[in-house]
Amino acid sequence: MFDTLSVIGSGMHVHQTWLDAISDNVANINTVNPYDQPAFQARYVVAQALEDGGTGDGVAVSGITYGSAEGRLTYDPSNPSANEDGYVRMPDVDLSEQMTDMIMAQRGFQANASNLDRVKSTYEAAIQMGKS
Amino acid sequence: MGAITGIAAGALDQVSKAYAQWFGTSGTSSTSSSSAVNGSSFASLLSNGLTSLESSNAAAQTAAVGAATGDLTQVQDYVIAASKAQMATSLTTTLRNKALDAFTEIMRMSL
Repeated sequence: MFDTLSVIGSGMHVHQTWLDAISDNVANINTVNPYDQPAFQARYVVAQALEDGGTGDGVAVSGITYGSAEGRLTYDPSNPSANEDGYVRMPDVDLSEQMTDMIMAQRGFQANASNLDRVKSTYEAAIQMGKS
Repeated sequence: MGAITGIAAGALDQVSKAYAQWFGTSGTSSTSSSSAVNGSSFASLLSNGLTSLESSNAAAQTAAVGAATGDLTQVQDYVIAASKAQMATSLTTTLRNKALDAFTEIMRMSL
């Protein structure tokens, strides 16, 4: 019963997972790895719509994909992790792209939350109709 | 008198069909549950509805315990479970009141 609330909850869950992934990417934006190790790989959330032949059953996280392991080769000889040529691996994470993704995830979450308010008041209006 | 009880039974028929559709108690489509509708089936539907109401309340309790102990990873799970339990309780109470009103109205009729 009240399946719409579960659908909205799944939407909020996916957007919160997206926010978690973005926060992890931004937290590790300066994580330097030595040349012979893979760089920090950005996380991307893969969402999948759940179908039930009718109006749909919401959305679910079907997996996490990782960005490039090559990273950006940066010349920084003063870094203790640098190899003999002076190169280290910085993560291939673009801060502006992560920030715009963060805004999209936040607005998506807020859209789901306001939808939840409206659906709840709709159900309550129907129940109120029977009270009098 | 027979016609009036027939009308009342028809009204209870509608209510029980709607109730079964809402709670999905029969587990099959609502058309199959309408095949055997009399006063006793409405009582069984009401008891099934109360069982599912109890399960939704139990889910809300579990989410509340998780929120209090810090195990709850998704904050909206608790709010949604509590909203579902509250609305299911309100709906069951309203249906019970309506059925009771109809019953007392009929019993108040003088023979």
